[in-house]
Parts: sequence; C-alpha cells; structure tokens
Amino acid sequence: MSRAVHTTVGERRRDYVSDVALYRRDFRRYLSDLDTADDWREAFFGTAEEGLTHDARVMSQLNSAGWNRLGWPERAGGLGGNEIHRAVYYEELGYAMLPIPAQQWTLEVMGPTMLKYAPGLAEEYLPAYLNGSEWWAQGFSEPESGSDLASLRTRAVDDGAGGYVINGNKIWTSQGPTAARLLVLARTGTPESRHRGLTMFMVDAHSPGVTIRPIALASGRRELAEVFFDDVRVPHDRLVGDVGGGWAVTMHLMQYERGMYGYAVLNKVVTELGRLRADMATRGAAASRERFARVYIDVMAAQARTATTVRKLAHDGTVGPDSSIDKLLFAEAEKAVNDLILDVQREWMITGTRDARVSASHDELDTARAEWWYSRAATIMGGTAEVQRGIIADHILGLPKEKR
Amino acid sequence: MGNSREEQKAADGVDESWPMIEEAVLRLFDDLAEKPDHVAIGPRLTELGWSDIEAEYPVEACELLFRAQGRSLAHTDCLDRVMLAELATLLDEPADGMVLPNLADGCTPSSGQGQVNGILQGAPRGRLLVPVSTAMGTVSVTVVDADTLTYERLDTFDSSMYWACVAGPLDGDLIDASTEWNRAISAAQRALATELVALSDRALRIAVEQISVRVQFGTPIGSLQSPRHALADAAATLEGARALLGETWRHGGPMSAQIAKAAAGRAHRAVSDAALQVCGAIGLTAEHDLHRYVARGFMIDALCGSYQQLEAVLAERLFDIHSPGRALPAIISWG
Repeated sequence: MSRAVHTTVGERRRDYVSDVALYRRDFRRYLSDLDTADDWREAFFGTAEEGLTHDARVMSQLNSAGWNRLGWPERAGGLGGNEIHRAVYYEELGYAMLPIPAQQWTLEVMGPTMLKYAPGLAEEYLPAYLNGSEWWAQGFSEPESGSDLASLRTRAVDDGAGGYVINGNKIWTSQGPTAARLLVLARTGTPESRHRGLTMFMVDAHSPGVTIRPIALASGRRELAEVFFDDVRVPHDRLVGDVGGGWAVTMHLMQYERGMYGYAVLNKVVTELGRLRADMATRGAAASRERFARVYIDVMAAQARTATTVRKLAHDGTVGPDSSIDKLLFAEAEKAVNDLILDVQREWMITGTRDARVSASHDELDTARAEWWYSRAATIMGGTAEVQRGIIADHILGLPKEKR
Repeated sequence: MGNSREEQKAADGVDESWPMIEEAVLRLFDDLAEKPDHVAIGPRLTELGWSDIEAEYPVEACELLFRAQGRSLAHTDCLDRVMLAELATLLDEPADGMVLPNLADGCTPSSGQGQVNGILQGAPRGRLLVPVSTAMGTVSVTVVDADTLTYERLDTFDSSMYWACVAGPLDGDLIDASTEWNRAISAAQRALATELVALSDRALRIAVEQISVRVQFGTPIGSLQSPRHALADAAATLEGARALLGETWRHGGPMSAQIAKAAAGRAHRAVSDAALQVCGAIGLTAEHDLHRYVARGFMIDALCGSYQQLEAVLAERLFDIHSPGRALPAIISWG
C-alpha cells in the first residue's frame, strides 16, 4: 500500500497544488487506510523526549509518503503549494483524530521566515525538518528580556574574518533540549540600540560553546531549555536576513507564530475536544454539555479568525498588528479547552482514578496533565496576552499610548 | 487590463461600483434612523435599483443592509424580507410581513393547533406569513390577513422598538415548509448576527472615543492599562465573531449560522460589558448614546435563538451526532 501511495503523491503533485480539495480527499483516504493509525492515535509517552522521538517517526512516514511536503516549496524539500495546503494537512489529521507531530509547531513558526530571509539555509536544512530527522528551536527570550524582547543582551561580535562570535544566555526555548539548530536573535549594535541593533543567526546546537540545560515544567516534562553561548563561532553564511535587520525577521516570524501556528494548533485543540466529547458521551457528564458547546464556539471563532490570516499569508499579504488578535483568541481557546478537560475529568486528573478505580495508563494520565500545564504557556509564550492587548489597544483601537 | 473588473471582483467579491452602493445604502439608513417609525424598506431600495444590485452581489447586498441597520439604529422590515425571500416560492402572492416565533420558542414557530401566535415587528399590515409547528417537529406555513389578528404592543427592553404580540385563529391552508423554514432561519441568523456585530462596532467605538478624551489623574483614562486591556479583549472577541460570520456568509450551512449568531450575541455582551464599565457613569445615562447600541443588541440577540438558546441547541446536537472515532464538525472552508 505504501509504495502505491508514494507513487501517487509524487505523480499527482501538480494536481494537488492546483486543487486543494483533491489533496484533502486523497490524504483523508490515505489516513483512513493507514494500518498504523490506531497505534499513532493512542500513543502516549512519559517524557517529552520520547514523545518527540515518536513524532519524528510519524514525520518521516508522512514525508516518505509525500503528504507533509505539500504547502512547502520544492527547493526546500516540499512539493509546492501554499499555507492553505498546510492548513488542510492539519485539518485532515484532526478529522482522523490523529495527534499532530510536535515538530510541526516549531516548523510552522520558523520555516516560512527561513524561506524568506535565508533561502540557502532553508534549502539545505528544511528537507531534514520535514522528514523528521531534525528540528529547531527559537532563541529569543533571555532571563532579563521576556516581554521586553528589544532589551536583549546576547551579543554577536564581528570576528573580522566575516564570521561572528556569540556570547550570552537564552531561555524558555521550546523543544530546546532536543533541537538540532537554534534561531538566535542577538545584539550586533550598541547596548542602547534596542530593536534597531539586532541580528538573527542560525546556530547549530552542537557548535562548540553551546550548552543546553533542559528545563522541566511543573509536569516534570523537559519541554523547555536554557541555552548558554560561550564564544560560539558562527560563519557568515548563517546570517538570517541583514545585519541589524533582526527585528524585521522577528516580526515576519511573529505573523506565522500568531497566525499560521495558531491555525495549526487549533486543529490539535479540536481533536482534544473531540476526545473529550467521546468521554462525555459515554460517561454522562450532561451538566457540562452547554459549557462544552460554548468552548467549541470559542474555538471555532479563533479558527475562523486565524483562517483569515492564513488566507492573507497564502496570498503573500502582510498581517502586522492584526495577528495579535489571532494570538489572543487562539491562546485563550487553547486554555479554555484544557480547563474544560480538567474540570470534566477532574477525578482522573487529580487522583488517576475513574469511578473510584485506579486507571491503567500512567502515560496517558501524565500526558493529559502535561497538556494542561503546557496550555498555561499559551498566553505567555510568543508575547504574553498582556503584550497582545497592548498592541491591540495601540494599533487597532488607536487608544492613547500607555502611561508607565 | 480589460479583465481588471472581473479580476478585482474575483479577488474581493466586489468591484469598483461597490463603494458607491455602500455609501448610498448607509446614507439611506441614516436618513431612516432620523424617524422613530418602523419603515417598509422595499420602495426605498427599489429607488436604488436594488434588484440589480442583489443579482450582482447576492451576499454583500444582504450583509450590507444589516450592517447599515446596526450602525444607524433604523427600524425596518429587512428581517421580514430576508425570511420571506426564502419562503416566497411556496406562496401564490407575496406577503407583507412575517410572524416570528415568540422568544421562548427560539427558532420553532409558536403557531399551531388552530392558533396564530408570535411576534410582529412594526405595525399590522396586509397579508402576514405565519410559520406553523406541525407534527414531529415539521414546519408548515400559511398566510393570514392582518385584520384577523389581535395585537398587543410589547414592553421592550429597547423602548424605541415596535414589537407586537400577535394572536388569532389559524384557519388557512397549511403548506409544508420544513426545508424552506430552516433556510429562512439560517438567513435570519446570518442577518441578525451581522446587525449584532455592527451594533458592537459602534459600542466599542463610542467607548474608545470616551476613554481617549476623558481625563482623570491628569491623563486620558485610555492610557491606563486596565481600560485599555478591557477594550482590547472585547475587540478580540468581536473579531472572532466577525470572522465566523464571514465564514458563514461565504460557505455556511445551518449549524454554521447558529454558531455565528451565538458568537455574535456573546461578543455583543462582551463589548457592551466592557464599554459600560470603561465609560463610567455617563455611559449609563439617557443623554449618552451607548445604551442605545447595548439595548438594541439585546433585542436583536433574542430573535431566532438567543446565544443561550443556541448554545443549548448546539450542545444537544454535538452529542447527538457523536459516534466513536468521529471528529467534531469543522467550520472553515477554503473555497
């Protein structure tokens, strides 16, 4: 079966690029015939690292069959198409109630920006991202620069031979403990230059001088990392965008982090809500059904909003401050779903019991708890909800600047 | 360049004549809003060449009427027209108005068992179309003479509205209309949701203007974090509802229309609550405009299923259609 499908996706590439409904139909058929789908659907792991290893295998499988290559340009390991193909890819995984491989999240955030600002690096490394053999992490936040990103102090100094030497400290790096490469925003200007003196670099995680310290969330899972740079040498060809142009690169990336990633992650959220429905349908829980409907509507509204952004991105539009609305809506929807799961399945979440009996799967329980903890980060990472509200107040509502 | 009109229309759904149409309609509704009366808008639209406009822009034209109505607070029979358009093929001659379900009944006709019951917007007039609940949840329609009904003007939350409770004998022929009624309800829900979003836009704008000029502690209160964030949250909720509504207008079926109206009703509440808080005492007064957009929205939300009713209906539906392994229904269409 896999051989036949493999041939089909390659052969039908042009049809899929021009006809997204056809891509949807055939991908749906592939997933419904997939003999490993049940294992994939019910795969739960006790650690973040094991989860990523499993997801990398899923990426590899979908990549060799060709399905996750639609929506990415051929020069970077894709088969052509645009953001709408990627949206459909996530929708169909959701339709099949299959978990989206976690590498897709960081790929959605960083991939498009690499294609625009470092096409050579994108051609070199994105194929490996798409086939699951490597993934990357963002090095933006620092211990002293969270919401106030433009105050960051990690320095990159011209070494006089065309390269740079990076010194400093990044933190809250998602997928950082296992990432192969880091997208690092560093200061090349004066300490006072704020957002004007920043430059983006791609740094190999195994470069001499890079130290990665995994950070366990309250769930115990090592989802994040702190990264130390100690005289890390970066060649000139690892620049992403222009020297001093790091803020523009970051803003471009933010459109994807707030729009495209938002659309993708809402498909994961809908699948979680779908699993909750199955549980509620079999176990009564009638009292929570209206709240379930309200949360579903909020998720749909966030999805409709992010879909308008995906359409703009697919037509090469810029999104700008409007993406703060997307970010606020999808982050709050993600939290609302996880709160509903916590409240409806409280007995299981708190004591690991169902109807006063100890439940069998520890990994499933641990995963559910980890999802709840990680969902708390939705309104913190990528710019806190407070930062987004400030942007909306300034740039969309046109209110007077905030008094500080 | 010869194709540019078609190309632009394909890209935006509209072409360069659209802004002029939009301006004319907004002006018309602003004129109508000067008067307190409920207006039959047909003749005024005919003057604008409405049938051609509707033929060229079937979605945008309808959307525009309700956007204009929300913005202007005019009282018209636009809703009756939208619903009658879905039911017209069943009738031999056109009807002049529509008997809407009582609020407690949501989207289910209140007439049945020989009795007309429901709500009429505006004064009694001509021939009224009456939806009737028949056996097993089906719906039929009939037409009654307005003269045969009794009217009692309702004591409405927004006292500027003319809603009447109508009652009388139901003795005409019943025409089976379940499919058409569902379409009429979806059309009404899209229209009402559009009006709610327009009302919310106005309420939000009023609040933004108020806190931009109101000075306390030596600074406009719009520069203080708490009111800024309250309005930003409300604006985000409103944009979510607007995006859902856009999906519904373009591709939506019945569930999509219900969801869009529920979201618009919730968003109107969220915007109203935030606006009423940040405007302070002046926003609660009769001399300030805010209450007009708040109260009108409460009325509009109540028609054809309030957000609470629609959420309850949706909850039931989502669990009725559940089967093992089945995903929740999706809303987005990429067209």
